[in-house]
Amino acid sequence: MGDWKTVAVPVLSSDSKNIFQYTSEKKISPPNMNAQVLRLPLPSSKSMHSFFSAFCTEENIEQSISYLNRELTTLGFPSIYAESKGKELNLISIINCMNELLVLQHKNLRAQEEVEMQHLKLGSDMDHLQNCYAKLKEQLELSKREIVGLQERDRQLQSKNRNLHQLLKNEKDEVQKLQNIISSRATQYNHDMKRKEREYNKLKERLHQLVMNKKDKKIAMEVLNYVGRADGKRGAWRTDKTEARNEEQMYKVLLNDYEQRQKQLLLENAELKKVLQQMKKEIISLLPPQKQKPKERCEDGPVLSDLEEDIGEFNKENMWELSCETVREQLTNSIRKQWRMLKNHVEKLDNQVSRVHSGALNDKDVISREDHELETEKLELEIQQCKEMIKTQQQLLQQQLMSPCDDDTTLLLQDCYLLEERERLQEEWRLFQEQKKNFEKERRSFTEAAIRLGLEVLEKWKGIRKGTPMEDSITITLIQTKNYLMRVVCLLLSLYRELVLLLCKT
Amino acid sequence: MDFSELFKLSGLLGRFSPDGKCLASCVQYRLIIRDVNTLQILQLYTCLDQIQYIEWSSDSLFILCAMYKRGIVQVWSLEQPDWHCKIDEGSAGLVASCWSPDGRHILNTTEFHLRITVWSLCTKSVSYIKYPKACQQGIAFTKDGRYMAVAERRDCKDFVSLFVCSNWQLLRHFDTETQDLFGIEWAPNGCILAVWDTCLEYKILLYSLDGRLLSTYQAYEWSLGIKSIAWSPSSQFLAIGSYDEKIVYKEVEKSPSVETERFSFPPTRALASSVFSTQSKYDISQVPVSFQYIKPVADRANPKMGIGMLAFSPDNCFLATRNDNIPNAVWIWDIQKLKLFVVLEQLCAIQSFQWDPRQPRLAVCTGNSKVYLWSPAGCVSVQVPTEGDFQIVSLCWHPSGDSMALLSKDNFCVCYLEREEVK
Repeated sequence: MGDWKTVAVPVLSSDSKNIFQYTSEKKISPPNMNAQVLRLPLPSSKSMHSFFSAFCTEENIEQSISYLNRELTTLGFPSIYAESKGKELNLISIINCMNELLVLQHKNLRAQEEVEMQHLKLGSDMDHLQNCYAKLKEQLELSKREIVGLQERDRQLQSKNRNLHQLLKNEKDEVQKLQNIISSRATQYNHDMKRKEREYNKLKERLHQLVMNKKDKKIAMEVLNYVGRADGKRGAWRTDKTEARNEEQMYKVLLNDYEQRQKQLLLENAELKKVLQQMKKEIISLLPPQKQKPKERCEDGPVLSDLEEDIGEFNKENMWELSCETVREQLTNSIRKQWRMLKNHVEKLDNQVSRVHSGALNDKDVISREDHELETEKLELEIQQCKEMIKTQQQLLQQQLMSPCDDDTTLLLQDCYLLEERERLQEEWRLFQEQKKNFEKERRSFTEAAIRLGLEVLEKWKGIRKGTPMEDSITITLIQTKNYLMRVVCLLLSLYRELVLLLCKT
Repeated sequence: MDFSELFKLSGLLGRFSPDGKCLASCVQYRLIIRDVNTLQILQLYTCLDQIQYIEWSSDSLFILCAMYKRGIVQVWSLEQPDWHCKIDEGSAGLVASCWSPDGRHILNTTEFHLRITVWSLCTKSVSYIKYPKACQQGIAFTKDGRYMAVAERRDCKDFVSLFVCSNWQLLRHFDTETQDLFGIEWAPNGCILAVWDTCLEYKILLYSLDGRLLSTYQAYEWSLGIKSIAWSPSSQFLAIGSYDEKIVYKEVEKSPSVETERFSFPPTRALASSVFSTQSKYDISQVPVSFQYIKPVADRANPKMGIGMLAFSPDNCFLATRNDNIPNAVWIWDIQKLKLFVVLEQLCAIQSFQWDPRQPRLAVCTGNSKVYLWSPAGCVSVQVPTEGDFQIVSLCWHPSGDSMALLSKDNFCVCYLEREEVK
């Protein structure tokens, strides 16, 4: 194996694209050829052929072929020589190799395209991500600034809050202080007042003493004569007895007062109890009868029976026995229970009514209000219509009966009616005449037919007097004609009858 | 309505006798007794000095005239015009004077409230009550006249003494839990005594006749407190008017934390109000109505704010009040429903109002020459037909409710009302 040396071929100065080609340099190969190879410029579109021709010339065909063979074998392709050693080329293998090389070349090109595409994609992704990153960075900056701002505000508000709290505390302290001041001043004033009052009392005492000591003649009462006491009795000495009597009197007064109040309260109580009893009775009467459904209202059942028992009890007892504690409690408790029951009952009724209003109740017995109202409206309309009809009929009747009795008009009217009738009769008469004519015609035809039939029968009778078999047929025909005639006669009679009837009608 | 002519008067001293037969009036130092129906002078008495106070005895037989400057009380008899009685307090001085319920004793309060002297007209005996309290309502008699409550102060503490009026024996003596007692008042049933504290402290105490503390009520601390109170005629409720423009309507039996109704005076809301107009008639104006609200001067004592006047109607149906912040209006509350019933708004500040002793009829005067009457049926304003100025500042009803005396500074007149037929 030779040493490999990768050499970049220098760029051509022409306007073609640069293609870097890596060629391997073999030491074994003659240097001049390799050098030639090395020094050769890059192949361009124009100089492609020249490059290709530069590699293999007429002089070094064999060397180029062996070189190529070596390269191919190292790449893994089969040898292009026909035999392992020899100068004959295996054309098939050469072509195969060429094909393989072309395929490889295509594959490589495709791979290159893919790689380039991916490269582009990655590049655009990268751009996009960079943009996003830039934007997010901006946003982050903004939010950070906002946060800072909000924090500042929060700080300010908190400090304000603290200030206000402080102010409030200060105010409260001040209030407390003022209150303390007030109370302290109040005590001080009280103390001073007391001191002054004591001084004043001393002065008063002194003054009093002076006044009493002076024995002022002036302090006296002049009276012409003493007046009798208001109640006419004499004055009494002050003794312990009188004191006791005073006490007694006072207590009597107090007791009187209490007794009066108690009487009032008793009366009030009695009144209230009466009222309660009445209320109880009324509540019981208001409640619906519950004995039919013992299961549903089992909790009320015993209560009811209790209540009835209570009523019975109360009726037996006297009024003043009702003041007993337990009985009193029972009464109030029973009333409370009943009131609750009544309340529940009323609430239930309310619910029912509201359900009916909303139309949710599906009971046949209960007709919804709206339907009911519609029905009533319809009925009312009908009634109205009937009434109107009756009225108009009455009016017409009255008109007829009490139409203005003017003779001319009546005659005219009568004439009108007669004219009508006459015309009708005339019409019918005409019809009758026509029918009569028709009947005449028919009768004539029938009679002629009958005559002819008779003549024929006679002739036949004359002709066949000698033979009998003809008799039957003749009788038959005779009977037939007879029937026929009978029928005709009947028909005529019926027609005649009808005519008569017609005439009678008119 | 009939009006009598004007008569001279001084010191707003015009009083009907308790039996309703006579009317006493003072002109300087003269006491004139007139017949109520004819206003003819029945008696004329002359006192030693200008009369400052007159009071009829409960049986209408005697009338006392007090002259504080001279310290003299003179008592006159109606039955015997010659009879005279003079009580001279001398150097002790005289600050107040009143009758006892039996009409035979006179209680004189000496100067500086040194003592109360009980002078008897029947006997020669004199009694002294020491250390009376120097307050507005220091003496209170029960309605039936059996007991007397006197407020006392010893050693800077308040006490209440209960005396039996028939023999002036001390019944009970107990201390009260007040800082500075301001007033005492018996309930109409005579069994409960209301004691309330100074306006610096909102506190009202209820004591039973035998001296037990029944209950206390304190609405709040530190602000100005009770200004006026009124017992309901049934003695079941107590109306307390305070400086914060609220009325506490309290049931006496219950503890204070329960069952108190507070009426506040909303300045811009009224159920129906009647406004007096120059043509002297009442208009009904629609709600809401705004009133003239006066804010009192803050640095003066006894400010003109709060509920200054409270009065129950005799049938226990209505309560008439006046808020000193809104001096032009009388607020009438329906007690049965605990709601505001009507507000009467006048053009001038209300000087006084009084209920008719027999029926729910309120008479109001505002310092002009008109008298206003309100009843649930309606209200009417009547001009007194006089020549010249007649500024009515006070009025008082006749015990029967048929007439009333309208008093001004210098004159008075009697107004006769038509008696409503009672079926």
